[in-house]
Amino acid sequence: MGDPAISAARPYENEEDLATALAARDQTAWQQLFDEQHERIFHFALLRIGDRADADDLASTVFTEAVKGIDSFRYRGLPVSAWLFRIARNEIADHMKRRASRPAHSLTDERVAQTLSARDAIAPGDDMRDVSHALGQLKDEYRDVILLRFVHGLNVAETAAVMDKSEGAVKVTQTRALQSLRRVIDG
Amino acid sequence: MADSPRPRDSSLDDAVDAAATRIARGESLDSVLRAYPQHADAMRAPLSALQPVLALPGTAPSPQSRANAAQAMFAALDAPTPQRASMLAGFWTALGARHLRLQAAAAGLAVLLFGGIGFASAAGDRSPVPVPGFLHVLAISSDNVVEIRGTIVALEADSLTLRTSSADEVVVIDTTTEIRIGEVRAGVADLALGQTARVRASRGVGGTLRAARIVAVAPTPATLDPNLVPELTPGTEDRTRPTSTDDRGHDGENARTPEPDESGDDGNDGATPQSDDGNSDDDGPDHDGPSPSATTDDGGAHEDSTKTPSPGDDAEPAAQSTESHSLEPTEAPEPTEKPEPTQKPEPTEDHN
Repeated sequence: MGDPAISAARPYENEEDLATALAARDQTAWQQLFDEQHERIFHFALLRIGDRADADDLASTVFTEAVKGIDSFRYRGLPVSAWLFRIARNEIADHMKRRASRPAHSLTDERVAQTLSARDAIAPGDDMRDVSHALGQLKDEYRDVILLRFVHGLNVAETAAVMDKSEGAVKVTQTRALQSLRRVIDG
Repeated sequence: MADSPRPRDSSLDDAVDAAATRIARGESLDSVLRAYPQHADAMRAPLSALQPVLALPGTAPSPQSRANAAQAMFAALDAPTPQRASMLAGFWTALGARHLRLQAAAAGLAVLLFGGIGFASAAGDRSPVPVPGFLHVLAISSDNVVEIRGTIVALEADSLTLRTSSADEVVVIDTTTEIRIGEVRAGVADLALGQTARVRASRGVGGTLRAARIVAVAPTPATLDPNLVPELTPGTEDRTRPTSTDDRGHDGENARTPEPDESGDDGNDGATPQSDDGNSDDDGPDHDGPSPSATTDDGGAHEDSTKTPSPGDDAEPAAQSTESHSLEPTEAPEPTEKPEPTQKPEPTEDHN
């Protein structure tokens, strides 16, 4: 017997059931998906584009695009969240193209570290600034694999689905990304 | 060392992945590296970079932006489903496509018939035979283009009056009007009273006919109407002479010296070989419709200039002689005879 509030908040425990309900445009399923994934998508967007307002907009867009595209979604054993991250990644790419005239790597912007530290009452220590700055200097692919795998907790298969790569390719990219990150941190 | 399982894959990438996963779950770097002695040295640097990443704090969106996003999502959810929308769109698209295909087929048929009749009548120096009314409607509704034939009875810099069998039609000439004397590209100054002309024109909203193409035939004694002679004014008389191009009422491009189309490509309306172009338009497109004039000619010239040098470089002297020959005022026929009685242009009103 669990907490009724919790069970009410998560009516679809099984990912396939959730996917089916989403496809049926079940509002409860969409509410559950939103509750569980919106913050993750927002965080991913914020770390990639560095602007809170843009990240807000982008996270919202991801869910509206998911609604529009749910008919094309087929459950193949991967969680719906991986699909959302894939939409987010595409939206981020479009966003980056649109603002190509502006500085490309938002994580080099001090606003990110400041935003992170202010909201979470974590002292903006040098390590945090360093890693934010370092991530901002990585190529998009490396940054994505690190964020997806180690910040947002996707496994290799899910990351592969998001990045449209094979699992082997994700592992190779991951190794290179971490090596590159180390070099950037070391200066 | 013995307390950690051996990695199932000895490749560095697999080892890094497995080790990183363990670190992400909370194991220390050193303990994980002890499990992969063969890659420990290679893995230490990249895995050490992982630790500050794992320490990145999460960030929550503001409640307001979260509420806005939820509202937008549910609004999208309430909107017509893409499937239904696409089904509706597909239906209308299919309907529209079918409708357009039918329209295009009908218009194409009308153009073929209309154009064919016009071409055949032109070839036979006859007026277009009447076309069934429904074809007129289709042909004219598509571009409102008419073709009339008659004798030039008045001529101005920007217009001419064509006497057909039924009425006098005033046709506006502008810089886009393509003018030919027979096969020779010409200007408005090369037109003359008494010439028989075939005019393709578009009829504007107010009924104004704007000439896209004028093909005139130099008058012969048999075709010149003696009644036209009294109508000649000093100003219009001068226009019959091959004067300088400044008098032609065209821009520089159209004011070029008319030359014969030596390519033998009768349908090449864009052929205006000029020595300064360094090429001819022999390979140029066949502009049968309203002439794009200078723009098209230039385009063809530039395109050709990147290709094969043209023999038209040396064509100008011959062209000039042809021009002066064909447009020589002294060749104006004596006004002794009435126009050919067999020339009975059909009422052009049918085409409107």
